Amino acid sequence: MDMSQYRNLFISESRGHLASFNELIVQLERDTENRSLVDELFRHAHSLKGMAATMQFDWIAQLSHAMEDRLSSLRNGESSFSPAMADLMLEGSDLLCSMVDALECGNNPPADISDLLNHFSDFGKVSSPLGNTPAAPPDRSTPQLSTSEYSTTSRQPHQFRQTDSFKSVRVKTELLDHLLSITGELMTTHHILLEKASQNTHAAIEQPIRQLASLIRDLRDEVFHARMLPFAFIAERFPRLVRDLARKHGKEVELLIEGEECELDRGVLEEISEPLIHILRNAVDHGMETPDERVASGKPYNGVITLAVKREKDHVNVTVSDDGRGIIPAIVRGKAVARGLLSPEAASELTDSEILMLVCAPGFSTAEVITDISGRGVGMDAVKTAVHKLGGILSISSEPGKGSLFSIQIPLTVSIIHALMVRCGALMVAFPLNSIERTIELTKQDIHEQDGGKVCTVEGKSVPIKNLNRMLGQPLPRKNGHIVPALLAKVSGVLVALLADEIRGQQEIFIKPLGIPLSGMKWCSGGTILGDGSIVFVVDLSELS
Amino acid sequence: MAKTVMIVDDSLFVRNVMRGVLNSREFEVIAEAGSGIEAMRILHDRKPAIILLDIILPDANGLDLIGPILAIQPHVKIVVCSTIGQESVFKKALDLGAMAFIPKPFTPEKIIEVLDSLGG
Repeated sequence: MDMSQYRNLFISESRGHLASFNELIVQLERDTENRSLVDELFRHAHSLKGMAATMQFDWIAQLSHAMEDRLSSLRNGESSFSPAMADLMLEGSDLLCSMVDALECGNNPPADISDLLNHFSDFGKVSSPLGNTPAAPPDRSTPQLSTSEYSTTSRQPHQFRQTDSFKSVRVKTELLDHLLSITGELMTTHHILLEKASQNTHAAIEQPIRQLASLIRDLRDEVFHARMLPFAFIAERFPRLVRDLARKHGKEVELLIEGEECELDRGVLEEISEPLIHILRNAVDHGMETPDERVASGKPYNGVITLAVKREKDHVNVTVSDDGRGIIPAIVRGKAVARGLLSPEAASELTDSEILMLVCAPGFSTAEVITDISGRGVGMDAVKTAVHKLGGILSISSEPGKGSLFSIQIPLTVSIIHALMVRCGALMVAFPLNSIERTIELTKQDIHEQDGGKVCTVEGKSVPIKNLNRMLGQPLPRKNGHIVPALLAKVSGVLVALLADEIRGQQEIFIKPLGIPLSGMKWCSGGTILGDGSIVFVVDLSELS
Repeated sequence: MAKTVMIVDDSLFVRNVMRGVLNSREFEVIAEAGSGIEAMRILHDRKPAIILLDIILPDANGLDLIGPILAIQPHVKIVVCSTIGQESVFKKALDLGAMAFIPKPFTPEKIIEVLDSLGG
């Protein structure tokens, strides 16, 4: 019988087992006496072995058999769980992942896995006399695999519940992207139709257009819904990541994840994954103290990092909080001035939370700074850029000695946003609504000169004024003395008032990426077409200077 | 006429392979279930001649399902699937009313051999 037709199913189901396996090992490390975790681990190894044997993928069957044996002796109480055993199990599952990846790419199996197999069979004999020793056992170092050409990172596709097999279909993500794009075009076409209809007075078409609008809304909602994935989809690898990092640095860190059932657009998940890894990595590497330091300062031996996801009305809040050493604003302030990012006067005017945001400024993080301020600068500018690209907001708060909180507010979807439409000269631009604090109106009397620049006073604070027209290369408004509308927004953590010609109001828009040469405009994250056919550029404030 | 079969296994891979094997012979797979609960629900409407029953299910031990299944459908032939070396499981399944045993990991040939041995 030709088994190759089952190969893809084997690959996706194996990945599901291995993902669960990794997760369970990390859980078992926290809860070593939990028998049901061992049973479940056994079941995954067992299922994988059976499947591999049926497919005659002997090397996968052998390795999962060896892992199953280890788990079996754990189950029978013949051996006990130790950190070294966790390392070995994870190493085994990494190798299995890369074997499955290799299968998918059509590569050959690894030449020799006998070293690792021997290690599995010898393992019990070495470690059982050590019993439950909490300190690092001497056999902690596991052998280096001879199969280094196999990538140990594995992609884990969305696993459908297998019992739903008759009720669900697998579709390629490109299809979902395509559906979303068509829906966006439909919305635009509807706006155009509406515009045209308003010029005619055919009452007969009003009703069908209204109905069309309602159908498009339904379609949009369903397409969004189909693109949603639970946060767990990206979070399932985080416990492993934190565990490995913590062990590497001799730290004891527990990662708690809350709200992983919360659903987000897969595009958003894809974009938010790397920034979160950056933040988690920083939290473990630099935010967290060693156990000795912690105990010395009266803290619990284990550090805790909490990753929480919470759905608000039309956005999602993702927070990473740690109970580590925190960030001291005075040090950040000093460094920012020393690096020439801002003048001492400007630095002294910033609030502590504004100061903390400076760690995200490009050029802030260097190796030297890292050691000095516990390295919060590592890749933080990249994190901020990624969050902004999504139309999200990053904020940081910290209490020295107690810990830090990184908070990311992101929209539920990537391509359809609420935007504020603003006219500057001949140009119409859109600002994601969440990037604007509020709009104000200024008269000539409100604007003063200060330090060679113009400022206005908002709630007793002096706010620098910038002219959007100038920033966007448009002619300056001719009529002075009139009331000038302005947007209050934070640019690089500093509140500024952006003068514009006219604020047109709020609209839901479908953002399309721009092609060459327009994509070269850094300040523009995309474009959209309005009902009257005009093109609107979406402004990325973080890139506008 | 083709003999009707229901497959109870939580692995889609296992179910698909089994279905492929059976459909290539004089069997017709009329139902599949991924859990014990789903299996019991389906058995209220469908009457397969043979049930292939995995022992390790996410919500139940397959052995515990044998009695309830036979209570609803006394004439169904239950074939238990489990790992080699579990003779005690096999014996227990027979005591509970199962007719045969397919050792896992299975081969397509073994499935056919066991099902053929069940007779008409």
